[in-house]
Amino acid sequence: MTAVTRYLRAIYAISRREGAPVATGAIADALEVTPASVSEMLPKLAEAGLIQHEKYTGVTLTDPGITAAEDALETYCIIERFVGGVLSLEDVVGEAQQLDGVIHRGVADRLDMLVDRRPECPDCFDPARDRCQYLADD
Amino acid sequence: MISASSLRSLCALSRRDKVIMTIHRSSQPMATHDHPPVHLRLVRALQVGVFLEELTVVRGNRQLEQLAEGPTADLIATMVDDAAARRDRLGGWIETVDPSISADQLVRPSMLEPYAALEGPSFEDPLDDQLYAGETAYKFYADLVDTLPALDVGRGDRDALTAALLSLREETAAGVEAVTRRMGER
Repeated sequence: MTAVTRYLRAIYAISRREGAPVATGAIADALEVTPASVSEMLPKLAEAGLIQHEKYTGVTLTDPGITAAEDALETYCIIERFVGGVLSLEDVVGEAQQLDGVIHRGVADRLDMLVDRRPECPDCFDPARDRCQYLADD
Repeated sequence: MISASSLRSLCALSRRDKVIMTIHRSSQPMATHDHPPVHLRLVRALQVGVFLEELTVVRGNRQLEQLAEGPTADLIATMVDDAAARRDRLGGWIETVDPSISADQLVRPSMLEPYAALEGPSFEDPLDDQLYAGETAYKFYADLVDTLPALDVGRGDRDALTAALLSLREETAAGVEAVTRRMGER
């Protein structure tokens, strides 16, 4: 998983839960990194057109940012369900993290036919546990 | 399923495969039960490749049970054989990267059984199904080549593995081309 993907996923999940704009401190807490690291990454995301960053209000995903975040989250959810439900690996999150960034969307779409993903995906992603909130229940 | 005999027959692997095996055996520590396997990301990536190729095999074999003899059946039989050969090569690489792993245990027949008879518009035409499978495998190998620099693979190993993966990618491209050609002939 690239750093950009991690940031987009976190910002997306916090935005859905708490609304936008998202405070940089909340991003740092979610990713367990220092605020300085967040401050260093945000200009890169803004330059790529993925976020709007207002210094004293926080971060808002742009439309391309939302699309990229949803794509990354859906791909990750497919990977989690594939490693757990199809490959029967025990450490679903750990194993999915190994494949995150290795399995891209085109291949994930093929694997998606083999797994049962919730209709509300990716809004059911729980950033604190780095997994779909329903995964343990399915 | 990866047959035990095919993996035991490592002599059937290409010369380039043997080079990869030699590199890994000489440079990587053995995994133990107390430590995570070396190169876990690479092993898992190759495991996905094994799964995709095996999926092509089981679905192709299921289609062959229902197809009359003819050019389409002949082509699908060839696609199945080619996918099985790639699956076995990937399995051999996995066991080379981590000798503590038995590749035929990573993708077991029971895992594939539910997916041998997938139904729906995308699966009704055997050639459509094989085309999708081939395009997915092509994309997988292309993505993996792009991802290798981010994996914990040494430069020398990476160059050899890249060349081997590119070879698999070209083989899948040839398969896709054969399927599209057959589609045009129908």
